[in-house]
Amino acid sequence: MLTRWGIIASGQGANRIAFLYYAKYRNPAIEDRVLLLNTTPADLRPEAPLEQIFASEPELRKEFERIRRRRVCIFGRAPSGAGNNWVLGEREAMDDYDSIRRYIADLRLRSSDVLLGITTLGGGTGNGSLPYIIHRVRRNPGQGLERVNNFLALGILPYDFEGPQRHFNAICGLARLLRYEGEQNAALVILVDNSQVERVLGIRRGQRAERYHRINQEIIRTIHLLIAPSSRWSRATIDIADYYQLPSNIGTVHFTPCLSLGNDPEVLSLEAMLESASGNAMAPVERGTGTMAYIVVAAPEERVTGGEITQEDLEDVAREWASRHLAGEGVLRYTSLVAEPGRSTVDVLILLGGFSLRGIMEKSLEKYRRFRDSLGGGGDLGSRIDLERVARLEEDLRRYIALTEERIERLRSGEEHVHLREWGFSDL
Amino acid sequence: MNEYAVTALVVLLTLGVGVALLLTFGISFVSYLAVGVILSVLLASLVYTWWKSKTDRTVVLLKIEILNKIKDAVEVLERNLRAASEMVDVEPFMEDLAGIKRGLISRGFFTGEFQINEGKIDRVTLTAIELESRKVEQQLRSLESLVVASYGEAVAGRMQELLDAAQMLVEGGFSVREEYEELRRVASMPAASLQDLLEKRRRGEEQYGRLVERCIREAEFLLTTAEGVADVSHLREELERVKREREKVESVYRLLRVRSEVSSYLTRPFLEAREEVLAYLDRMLELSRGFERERQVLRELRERAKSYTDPGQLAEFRSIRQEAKRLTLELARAMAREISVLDEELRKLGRAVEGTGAGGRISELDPRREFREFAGSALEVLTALAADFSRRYREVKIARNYPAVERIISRKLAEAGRVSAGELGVRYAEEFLRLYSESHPEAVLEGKVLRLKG
Ligand SMILES: Nc1nc2c(ncn2[C@@H]2O[C@H](COP(=O)(O)OP(=O)(O)OP(=O)(O)O)[C@@H](O)[C@H]2O)c(=O)[nH]1
Ligand SMILES: [Mg+2]
Repeated sequence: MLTRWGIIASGQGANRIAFLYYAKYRNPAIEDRVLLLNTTPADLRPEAPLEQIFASEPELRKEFERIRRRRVCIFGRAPSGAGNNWVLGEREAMDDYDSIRRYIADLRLRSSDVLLGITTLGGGTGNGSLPYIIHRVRRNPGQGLERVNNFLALGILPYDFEGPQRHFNAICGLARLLRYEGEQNAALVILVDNSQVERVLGIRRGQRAERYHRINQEIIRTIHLLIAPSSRWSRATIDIADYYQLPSNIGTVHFTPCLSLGNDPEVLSLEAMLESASGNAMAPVERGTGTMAYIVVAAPEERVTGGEITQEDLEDVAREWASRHLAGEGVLRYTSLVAEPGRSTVDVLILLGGFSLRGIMEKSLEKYRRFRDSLGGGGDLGSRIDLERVARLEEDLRRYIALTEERIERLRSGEEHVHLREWGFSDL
Repeated sequence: MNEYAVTALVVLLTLGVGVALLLTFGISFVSYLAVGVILSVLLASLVYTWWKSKTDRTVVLLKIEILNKIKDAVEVLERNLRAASEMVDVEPFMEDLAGIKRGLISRGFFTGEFQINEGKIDRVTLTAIELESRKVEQQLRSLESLVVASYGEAVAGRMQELLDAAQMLVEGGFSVREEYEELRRVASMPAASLQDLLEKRRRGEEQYGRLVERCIREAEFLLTTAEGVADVSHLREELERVKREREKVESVYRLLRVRSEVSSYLTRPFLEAREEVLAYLDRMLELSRGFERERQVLRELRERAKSYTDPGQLAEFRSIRQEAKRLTLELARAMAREISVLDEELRKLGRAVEGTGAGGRISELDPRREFREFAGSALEVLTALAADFSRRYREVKIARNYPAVERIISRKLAEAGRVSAGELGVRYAEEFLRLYSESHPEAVLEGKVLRLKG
């Protein structure tokens, strides 16, 4: 039984990514389980956020027509969206949860299926609504909807140069994806940083729409590899429970994808491919602070059946890689080889987790603080940013960061070996 | 006769009715009526006679048609019986058939020459003819089934004989397996009627004839080849006899004897031919790395060549050499095509292409030339092509992968200040390091190790 996936994308940027993925890959593990959520766009046309995609790929308009009726849900009452205010985005989702729930129910998910929620973290709509929706669907989905425990989240961090409110939103959004009302929220939080992706891709200039498009294409490739182990070509399925259960138990659930695509297996060894992927983290990661890694390798089928690339090789190489790249060799490592027919190159995804959040916080904190301190408690009730709540979110995030750092430190110091002595073994 | 009585009756009736009408209505009315009635009766009788004569004609035609069918059936069976007579005794069946014919003549349907007796059939009803035809049909059918039983057995026997002979030829090494399979197919065809059986026999004989013809040609080739080595004139005589008596199954033994004796003289030429082709194919396989599709065909051909171990199979090497020449041209063209694709890609990548392509030399390959000569020059051309190809292949691989490898080198250098070819984990590692050092002034290559300066 292959794992079935569904995608729920909220907000403008997320809509683009989810739609692009659906239209480009038509993945059998997803079929048509893609739901686009948004607040009222300025001109009332649900496809408005997608116009920039149609501009470069007009043939995709057809694909949109296929899902327009059942898979696009506009919620909320504000005349022009959440206006970059996540509190408003969250309020609208709460008020309209019933209609959102009906759309989700129409995806006909079973409790063993996996949901991937996508949102940008700099805006108001997606960032406000998705954490709330994840919380509801995992804890208290309401009538006609099964609880889906495997709800993963993909959050897109704003560019370094964006304004203070965007970074304020991002920090609040990250905190709410990790914990919501005092409970763990998304089963896994995958972070992608716009500026970092552009650095990796070497994008320096260009129209905004074009730049988003390139980043989004990189993101959908990531999603594809993320889902690949659920395909029937997989050699050693990473059971989807592995994606979240162990990190949840450990307490650190944030990850970032490291991609290396189109590798020539005649020239590059698996070592070199992993090496090249680990240089391409999609969020700022401090070297050697990662503590967990899921590695997915999609290789040409004939090289796998011909025995040139095997699951065992991959595990050996991954072990070697981990000893050089993870803190104290890490605590978790899964590898999955996917033998895809019809491809000639090798794609590698390393989902690197538990790394120090320093790099991410560093660039946002200053702007975050500046925006927070400017808040005066004005605005009407529904959209007011409650400073006490912000303080609670801050506290949650601090605690999470402390836990992460502690784990990294423990692994680095090799404290694990101390236990041997505790069990009565003498030192080596 | 009836027609006259009816007419008289009608006339009398008309007169009676006329008198009655005259008495009741008066003269003028009745004369109009009388003229009208007479006219209508005239018209009606005209129509009636025309219709009658027409139906009569149809009946006659039908009768003739039925009789024709009987005639055909009798004649076909007669003809088939005569054809079958060369294998079985058909006298008693002929006798029965003559009886049936006599019956038909004596009942007046046919003349003594067995022609339809048109004068007499007027007087016989259609029904009677139909009945007669059904009876005759029945008689013919039971007669034919008797014939089929005895002739069928004879045909089966003959087919078996041909099959046995053909099988011996196949087992004796003649390459006539295809012809043999076809013969088996013919022999197993179902045949329900005498016609089918005759057809089956005819095709069986024909197919066997083709098979023997091929064997004769093969034996002739072997004899011609052996003439240079030994005196084989007595075997030639044997073969001439076979040619005169090909349909005789005993010729099989002659053919087998010719083949086995001539084979014993051919061991050396055979081994030489085999060795020559195999050596050539081996070299081709070495030179065709990277061309999987062509290699597959080459391997199959090599397997085929290897499977011939009997000197009598010397003839096979003619077609194998032919095939090897064809494959050579195919491989050379595929190589030239790939080379120009790679050249194009190298130009796009901004790399100079060194050395002029060997593609132009394909015209040196002339398949009409004798195999040994052809093979000699072909190997030269293929070697040149393979060298061109692999040089470009390597260049393209390096150019295409350099950006990815460059990033890995940069990272490793930043990490440790040095990186060796071995640590890089890529093919062509030294070449990559050299390229890196050329475009990055901060790095120097010392042997197989790249270091950051200072
Ligand atoms: N990678 C990527 N980032 C995007 C895209 N569109 C917007 N962003 C980023 O997302 C943030 C803005 O979020 P949007 O998705 O536009 O906002 P929203 O969720 O629709 O919420 P509103 O504020 O109500 O419009 C900024 O940080 C943008 O840089 C996109 O297509 N791709
Ligand atoms: Mg929006």
